[in-house]
Amino acid sequence: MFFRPLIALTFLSLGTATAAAEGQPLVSDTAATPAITAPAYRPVDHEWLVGYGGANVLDTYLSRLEYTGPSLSVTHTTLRPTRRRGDALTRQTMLTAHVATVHSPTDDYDAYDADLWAAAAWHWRLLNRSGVDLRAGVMAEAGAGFTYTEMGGNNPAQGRLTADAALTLRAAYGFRCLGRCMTLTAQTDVPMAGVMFTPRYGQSYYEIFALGQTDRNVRFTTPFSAPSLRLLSTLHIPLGRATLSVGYRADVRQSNIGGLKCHLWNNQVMVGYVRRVFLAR
Amino acid sequence: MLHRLLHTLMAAAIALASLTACVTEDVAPDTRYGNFSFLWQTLDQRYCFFDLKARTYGLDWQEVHSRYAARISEKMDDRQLFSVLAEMCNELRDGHVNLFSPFNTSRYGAWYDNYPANYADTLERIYLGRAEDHYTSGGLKFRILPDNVGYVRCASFDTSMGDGSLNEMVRTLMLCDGLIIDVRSNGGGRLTTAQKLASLFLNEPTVCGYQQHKTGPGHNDFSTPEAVVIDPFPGLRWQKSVVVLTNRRTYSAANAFVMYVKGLDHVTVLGDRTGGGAGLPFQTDLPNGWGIRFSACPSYDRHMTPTEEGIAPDIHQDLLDADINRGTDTLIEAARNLLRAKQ
Repeated sequence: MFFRPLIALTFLSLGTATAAAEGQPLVSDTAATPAITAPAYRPVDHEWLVGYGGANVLDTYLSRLEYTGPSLSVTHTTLRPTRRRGDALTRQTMLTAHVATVHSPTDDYDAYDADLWAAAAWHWRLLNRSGVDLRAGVMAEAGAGFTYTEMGGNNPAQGRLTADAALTLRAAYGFRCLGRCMTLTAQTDVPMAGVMFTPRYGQSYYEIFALGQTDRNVRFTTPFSAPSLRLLSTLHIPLGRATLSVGYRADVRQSNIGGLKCHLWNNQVMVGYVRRVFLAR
Repeated sequence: MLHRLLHTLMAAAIALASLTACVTEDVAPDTRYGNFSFLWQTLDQRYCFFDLKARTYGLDWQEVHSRYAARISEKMDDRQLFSVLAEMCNELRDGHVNLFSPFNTSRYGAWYDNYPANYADTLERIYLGRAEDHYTSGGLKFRILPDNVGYVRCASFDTSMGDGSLNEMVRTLMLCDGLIIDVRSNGGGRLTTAQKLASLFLNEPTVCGYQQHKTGPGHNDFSTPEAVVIDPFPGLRWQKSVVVLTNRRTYSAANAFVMYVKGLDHVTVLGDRTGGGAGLPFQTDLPNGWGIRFSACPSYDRHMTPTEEGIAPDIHQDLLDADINRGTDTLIEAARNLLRAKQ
C-alpha cells in the first residue's frame, strides 16, 4: 500500500519534467549552469551511489501475494560530453546492482531478489538558461536478475533477462546555497520497446533447461505489456575537494505478459559522491 | 527539428506510462472465506488434471466450490479451516496436492493406503544383507545375488546420480545374467535423476514420454505436448534383461522412471500398478501464510497416455504376509525366475 502513492508521484514527476521540456524557465538567472564544458579537456563525472530503501515484489509465477522488505543497491554512473558534439550531446553509462530480502504478508516465507542492470544513454540539450539544463535522449539498457523463494517445489525461483530501448529525460539545476554551488538533478527513463525472457503461465524450468523445450519464452515488451520507469533525483553538494551526492530513486519494473504478472517496485534513499575527471586528448 | 522530435517522443512516453500504470494482482483478503476462495481459485486456474479427473471419477470443481463454500464460517479456528480446506484438496485425489500449515500437512493417501504394500524393509535387509555385504553408490544399494543376478535397490530419486557412480555400478554388476531394479516405495525426487538411471538401458536417443504445461487459467489451456527424448548413457549400454519392481508407492519421479523404461525390449515391469503422480508439482502460498502444492505440468507416456493414475505392470505379482513370514520377497523371487527363464 505504501508504494502505490510513491509510484503515482513518480508518474506525476514525468508530467513536471515535460512542462520544463516545453521551454518554460524553471528558475531565475542567478544560478550557475551545470558545468559540462571545454571539449579540449573533456570532463567525466563518476558518481557512486549506495541506496537503501524498500522493495515490493510481485511475481505470480511464484506467488499471487506481494512480498515486501528492505533493499540495497549500488550504482555507478558516468556522464561526459561526446567528442563530436561536445556539451550539446552527453553520453551516460550506468551500472546498478540491487539486492532485496522480502517477506510474505504474514512473514511465513522469505524471498531473495537481485538484479544487475547496465545502461548507456545519449542526452541532447533542449534548454540551457536560468540555471536549468534540460536534456532528452535515448537509452539502451539490459538487465538480468532473479527472485528466489524458500517455498520449494518445482517453481522456487524466477529468472529475468531484459533488454530494451528507453526514452530518457534529464534535468539539472545549478544554484548557490550556503555559499556553495549546488546542483539538483533529476532523470527519468521510460522503456519503450524491448524483449524479455519469461516462462509461460504454467511452464516449469525443468522443461526449459532439462528438456530444452522453449515455448515463446522470449517476448516483446511495450509500455502496455511492461509499463516501467526509473526516476533518480540527486542533490550534489561540494564538500572540500569532494562532492557529496544525496538523493532518491524510484525504480518501477513491471510486466503483464502471458497471464503472468510481475512488478518490482523499489524506493530508495541514495547517498554517495561525485568525482570529476578531466580527459586530455 | 531534433528538439521537436524529442518533445513529441517524451510526451508519447508519458501518455503511455499514464495509461498503463501499476501492475497488481487482486487477491482475496486474509479472512476464512478469503483463504478458501484464494485456494479454490489458485487450483482452478493452475491445477492440470481437471479434465482427466472428470473423466476418471466425475470431478466437478465448480460443484466442489459450492459444497465447501457452505462449510466456511468466519468463526472457524485455524484447525477447523485447515480440516475443511484439506478435505477440499483431497477431492482432487492427487498425492501431489498438499496443504501446508504450521501444525499439519494434508496429503491424499488412498492411492496407496487402499492397496497392498507389496514391500517390506525387513525383506530388503535379508536380500541386501548387512552393511558390509552390499555396495552403496550414487544413492543406490546393490549386490550380486547367489544366482548371479544383480539386485539394485533404488529407494529415492531425491539426489542426483553421478556418471561415475553409475559407471562403477555397471562395472560391478556387468557379469551378472540380469538386473533387478527395485523402485518399490520410491516416492520420487528429481526427474533428471530418473532419466539418468533410465539412460543406462537405452541404445539410442529415445522418445520416452511427452510433457506439456498450462498456458492460461482455463482448465484446457495447455501447450502442445513436447517429446521427452532421453539419450543413452555416455559409453555404457546395458543389453541384458532387466526386471523393474513396482508397487503402489512407486510415485512421481519413480513413476516417471517406470514410464521411461516400460516397453523397452529387454525390460519387464513386475509387481503392482504404480501410484502415478504424473503432474510436476508447483507450490505457492495463501493470504494466511499456508502453502499449497499442486500438480501443474502433466506428463504422458510414449503413447500419449496419461500416467497420473499409475502404470500397470507387465506381470502382476503381490507380496503376501505368508511370504514375509517366510523371509521371502515374492517379487524378487519372481524376477529372478523370470531372468533365469530368459537366459
